[in-house]
Amino acid sequence: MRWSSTLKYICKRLLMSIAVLFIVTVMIFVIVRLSPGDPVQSRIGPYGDYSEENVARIEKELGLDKPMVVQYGIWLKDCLSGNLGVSLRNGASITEIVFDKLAVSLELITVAILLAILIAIPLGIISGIKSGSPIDQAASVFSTGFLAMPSFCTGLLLIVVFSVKLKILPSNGYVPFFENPEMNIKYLILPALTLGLYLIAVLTRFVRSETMEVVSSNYVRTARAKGMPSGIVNKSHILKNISTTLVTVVGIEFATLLGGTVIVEQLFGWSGLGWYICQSVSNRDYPAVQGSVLIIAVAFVLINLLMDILYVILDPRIELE
Amino acid sequence: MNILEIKNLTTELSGDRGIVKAVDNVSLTLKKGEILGLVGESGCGKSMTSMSIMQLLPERQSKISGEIIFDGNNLLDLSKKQMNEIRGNKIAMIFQDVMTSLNPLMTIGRQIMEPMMVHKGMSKAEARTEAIRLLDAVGIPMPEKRVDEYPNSLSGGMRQRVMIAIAISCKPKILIADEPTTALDVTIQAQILELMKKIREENETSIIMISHDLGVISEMCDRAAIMYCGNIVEEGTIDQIFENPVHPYTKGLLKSIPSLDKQVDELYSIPGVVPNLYNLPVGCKFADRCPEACEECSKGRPARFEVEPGHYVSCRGGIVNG
Amino acid sequence: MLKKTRKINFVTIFALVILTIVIAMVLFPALFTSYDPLKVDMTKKLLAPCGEHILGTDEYGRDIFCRIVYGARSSVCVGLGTAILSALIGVPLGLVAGYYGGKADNIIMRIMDAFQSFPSILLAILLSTIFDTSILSLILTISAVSFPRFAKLVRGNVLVIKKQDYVAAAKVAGVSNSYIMFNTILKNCMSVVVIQFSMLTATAILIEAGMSFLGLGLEPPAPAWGSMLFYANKYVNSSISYVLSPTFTIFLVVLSINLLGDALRDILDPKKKS
Repeated sequence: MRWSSTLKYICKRLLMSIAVLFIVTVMIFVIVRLSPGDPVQSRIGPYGDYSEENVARIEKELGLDKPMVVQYGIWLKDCLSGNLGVSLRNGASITEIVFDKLAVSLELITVAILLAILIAIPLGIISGIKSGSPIDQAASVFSTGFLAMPSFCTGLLLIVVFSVKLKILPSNGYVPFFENPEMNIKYLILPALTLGLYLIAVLTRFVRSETMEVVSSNYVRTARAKGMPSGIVNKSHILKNISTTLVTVVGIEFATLLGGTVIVEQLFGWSGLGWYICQSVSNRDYPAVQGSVLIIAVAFVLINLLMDILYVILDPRIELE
Repeated sequence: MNILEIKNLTTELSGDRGIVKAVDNVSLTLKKGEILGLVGESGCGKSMTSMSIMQLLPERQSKISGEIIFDGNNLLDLSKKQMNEIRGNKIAMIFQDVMTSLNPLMTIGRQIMEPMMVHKGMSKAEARTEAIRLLDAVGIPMPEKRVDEYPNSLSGGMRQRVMIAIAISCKPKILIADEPTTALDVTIQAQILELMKKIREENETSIIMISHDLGVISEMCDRAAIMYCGNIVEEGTIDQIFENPVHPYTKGLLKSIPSLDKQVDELYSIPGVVPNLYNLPVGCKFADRCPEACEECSKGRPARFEVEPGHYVSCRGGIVNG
Repeated sequence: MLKKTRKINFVTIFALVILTIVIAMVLFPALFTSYDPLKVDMTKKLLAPCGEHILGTDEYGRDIFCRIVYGARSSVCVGLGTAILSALIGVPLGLVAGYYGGKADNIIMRIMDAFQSFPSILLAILLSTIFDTSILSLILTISAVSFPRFAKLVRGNVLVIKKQDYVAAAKVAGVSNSYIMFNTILKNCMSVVVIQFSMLTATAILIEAGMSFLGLGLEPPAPAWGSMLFYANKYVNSSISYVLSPTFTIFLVVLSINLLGDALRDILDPKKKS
């Protein structure tokens, strides 16, 4: 019975996600069409042939002579078949560039999230179990501080300390891991730390409040009344009960970071997807912006969908309509 | 034979507005195989007394003093580890909030098995067999199937049966039941009470039964203690309390029970309200509401004395009348 | 072991003091500094903090403290403007979605989901390609990113409040739907709206700073904290106070708003009070 209702829920969520994705594509299409800057102009270049025939030919080639709805349809069809078009700047396939850059971003995001998980989960649990203790107060000051700190401020402070004063880490650049692992890691440390510190603040706060709620719950009281040693209470009753929500929150943080690293990547010259989007915006390379943003939004919606489904499967409490 | 002796137990709790004496100088004894009722309105300290015995109050916000003698040891002197060996093993507890007292993410079986594996060193397989037997013993149909289910598939009455199965899994000497039937339907209530009586008879378990329901107490208990504002005001056998109540508060409580035999226009209720725990009177805490209070009553706390063998009262008026 | 928990909140007072100063900077910048934020003096570029320039000067010899004072204007205007505009759009949408439910709810919420499918800075960047670089455009852009939060929050609250007896009573009494929505229900979710309003002001200031940092904020030479950092980044090696001053300004202001939001939550949220 539970399984059939779970399946029903998954189908419903799937339909909702498809609707959301449809709206997302319309939004991206409209925004990019409204942007100033003429694609024909950027194709021909400043000194090219601006004769009427040539302009008309290029408009036709780019599909700009057709009605908007048809243009949208063609674009959507291309996207669904995995073709995000070509960059106006160098004619390269956007699909390829985007996935290359995504891999670069993923290295940074994964390291930052691992760092955050390793620190925030123990810290949040300890703070939640011993709320009011010196450790909790220190953690709370830390979280409050870094939640008010935009990533570029944290990043600049780290640059001042580690690159300018101590001169132990480079402040800007990227080298692929397989080319030079040592330099790759050196370049990685500061941006990963910048993202990590913020994530630690967010997650610690979340884990702490979840833990406090579970600690004061009646079923933890029951576990204590059963004479369970605190190790077992912490592991099988507290940790297990916060882990379901934790998994989904980490998943959503991950999705948010996919495009949210723009500023950090720009600041540290980490040439991932965020950095590429910034470059494309300043180059007015709209198909590239369109494609990158689309991929990020799709990933975001899919990860959210996945997390919702996971949550329902992990937690038998959830009542499904 | 006394299995539990509580002497001068005082529990202070700190809250936002200051410190409160939730349990004030309480002394009680519990005999082997007896059911002792602890009666009072909500907030009178009966649950706090049981939580103090089990030491389940948050350490940071509570301070317990006095003595709780069990098996020759003062529970308040034990280390955390020693206390863990007693909780759930020698002294077990069941709670009122049946819907939230079981871990929603752990199978019922696993929750029953835990204490047996920890306290009795049973293997997983042994504990599982025992858990199924216990589920059957507390009257849960299809125990082999239920053992692998999660609590959310059970009704309130069924959950309380599971709680009882957990509590009796290690054959405790004392079972503390904090309003075990308050959240349940009347028919289920009767079944749960029957189950508890059966447990007492089979294992000679002593039970502390906490309730605000005098009907439940008179039906279940051998003796009862009446609490008011953290104090025990009267203690005696069920007959003594119900046939010959001495404390005006006890009399008031008994008068406020609706009766089937007599036709009454309006149900009696004790005048006034329970005093604020942050701001207690110097004298007897019940003096303001007491129909028998005299001037002396508001001057100091009343002493405890024995009206008849085994029947104790803390009331100044008792000296005059008795 | 036993301690009285008492709350005299120095933290809240600190936050209020900082925010009062910032508001004063917006209204009367000349009270704080006698310099002109746009005056270029190449003889004095990148000075370290000294008596004359307490935070030093930037690469054009402009006083950094002065630019921070005048920069408060864009941050505060964008922060408050965004919070107001988002509330004006988001709250009615949330009310309608929650109150009527069904199809209206489904359509509104899917659109909100779509807006929230982009990391906020990314949508802001995308939108900034169609707007110019005025304060109004920044407010529009950041509002587009933020208003779904109001809509979702209010909707969630309406779903709970809608089931209360006093709403049923109002309906039975024949009160019109719009009156119930905008009076009875709105009044009852006002506290969450106020809390969200303060949080959103802080977020908007962060996004504004982020966009200026990426060069998508106000057109230079207008002073803005984020764009100061964008330029300061190039001079980390020569002037540390140039980097640190805007950093700590943004930090202090956002921190103060957050702390004020926490205090508001303590006061307004009845759940936490009990």
